[in-house]
Amino acid sequence: MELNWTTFVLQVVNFLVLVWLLKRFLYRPVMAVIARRQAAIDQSVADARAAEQRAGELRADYEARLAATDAAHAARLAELAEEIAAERRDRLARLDAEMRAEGAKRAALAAREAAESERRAAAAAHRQAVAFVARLLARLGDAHLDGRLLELLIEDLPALPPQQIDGLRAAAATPAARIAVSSARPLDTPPQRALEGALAKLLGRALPIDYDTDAALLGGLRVGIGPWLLAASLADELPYFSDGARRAG
Amino acid sequence: MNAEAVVFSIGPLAVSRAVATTWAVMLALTAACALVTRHLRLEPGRWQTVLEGVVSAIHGTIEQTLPGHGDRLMPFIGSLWIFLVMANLVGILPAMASPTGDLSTTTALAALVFVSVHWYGLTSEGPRPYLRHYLQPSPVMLPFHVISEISRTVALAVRLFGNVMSLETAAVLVLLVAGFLVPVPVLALHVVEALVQAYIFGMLALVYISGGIQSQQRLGRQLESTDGATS
Repeated sequence: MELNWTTFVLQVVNFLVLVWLLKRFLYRPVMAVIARRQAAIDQSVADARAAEQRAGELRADYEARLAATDAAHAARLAELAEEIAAERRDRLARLDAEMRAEGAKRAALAAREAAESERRAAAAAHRQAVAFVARLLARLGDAHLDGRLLELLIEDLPALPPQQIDGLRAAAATPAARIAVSSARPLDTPPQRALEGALAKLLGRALPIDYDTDAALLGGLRVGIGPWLLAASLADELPYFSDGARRAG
Repeated sequence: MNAEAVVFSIGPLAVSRAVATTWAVMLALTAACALVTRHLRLEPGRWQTVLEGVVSAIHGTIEQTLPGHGDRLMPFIGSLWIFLVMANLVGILPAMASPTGDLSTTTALAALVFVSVHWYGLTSEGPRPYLRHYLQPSPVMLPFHVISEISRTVALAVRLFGNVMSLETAAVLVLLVAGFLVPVPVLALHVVEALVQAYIFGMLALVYISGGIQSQQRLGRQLESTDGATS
C-alpha cells in the first residue's frame, strides 16, 4: 500500500480519457436521443394543444353558428307568429264582416219574411173580410139594394169620362150591337125602363137589351155593351174595396 | 490479487495491474456504449432503455443536487459513478483485481475531484469571487479551509481504497480458509459494498463540486445584499 506515481498519472490520464470516451459514445448520443424524443413529445404536445385550440375555435365557431341559427330561427318564428297573428286578425275581421253581413242579410230576410207574413196575414184578413162582407152583403142584399145600385149607375153614367163614353157609343154603333144586363135578382119593369132610358141617352140610340140573373153578383147589376162592361154590383165592387183597403193598410 | 503488481512495461513506463484492468474496463465500457448507442431510436429497445435510464438517473441526481448544472457536470460525475461501479465489481471476477483496490487509483480519482472542485468553481464566476470564499467568514479561517480541502480529498481516496481493499482481502482470506462456496455471501456483500462505495464517492464529489459552485454564489448574493444595503 504505497503511492505509485506512474500509476497515479496513468490513472488520471485514463480517467480523463474515459470521461471523453463516455461523453463521446454515451452521454452525447443518449442525451441527444432523449432531447429528440423530448422534442417529439413537445411537438406532439404542441400539436395536441394546437388541435385542442383548433377544436376550441371550431367549437366556438359552431356555437356561434348555432346561436346565429337559433336567433334566425327565433326571428323566423317570431315573424311567422306575427304573420299568423296578422292572418288571424284578417280572417277574424273578414269573418266578423261576413257574420255582420250574414246577420244583416238574415235580419233583412227576417224582416222581409215578417213583412211577407204580415202581408200574407193582411191579405188573408182582407180575403176573410171580403168573404165576410160578401156573405154579409149576400144576406143583406134585396130588391131595394138592387134598386139603389141601379139608381147609382144611372146617376154615374153621365159622369163617365168622354173617352169611355166614345168607346161605348162606338161599340153600340155596330149593327148587331146588343146590351146584356145581368142582375142578382130579376128587375122589375120600372127599373128596366129607367135603365133603358139612361142607356139610350148615353149611347144616343136604343139597343135591344137581354136581361138575365146571376146570383154571384150578390146585389146590383152588370151591363155589357160589346167589349165594354159597366158594373154596379156588390161582387164587382168588393174587390175594389178590398184593393183600396189593402193599399190603405 | 495485488493491484499494484506490474503487468508489463512500455519502455520506462511500468503498467500496473490496476492500470491494465482500468484499460480493460475502459475498453469494455467504450465498446458497450459504442455498440448500444450506434442505432439509437426514438422508440427504445431493451438495452437502450437501460442505458437511457442510467444516464437519466445520473442527470437527474446532479440536477437535484445542483440545479442547472446537469449537462455540465454529467460527464465527470457520471464517469466517476460508472467507472467506480465497474472498477469495484471487476474484482469479483476470478484472477481480476479492482483498480480501486490500489491507493494510486483512488488517489488519482480523489485528486481529479479536488482539481475539478476548483475548476468548476473558478470557471463558474471567475477566480476572485471563488477564492474569496476561503476568507469567509474571516481570513482566519483560511488555514482551516485549506486543511479541510486536503483532508476530505485524502479521506475520499483512503475511504474507497480501504473499503475495496479490505473486502477483497476478506474474500481471499475466507476463500482460503473456508470452502469453495462459503465466500459467496462475502462476494454478495462485495457487490453491495462496491455499489455503495461508488455511489458515496461520486455523491461526495458532486457535493464538493456543488459546494464550490454554490459557495461563491452564496458569496455573490451576500455581496449583492451588502452592496444593496449600503447603497
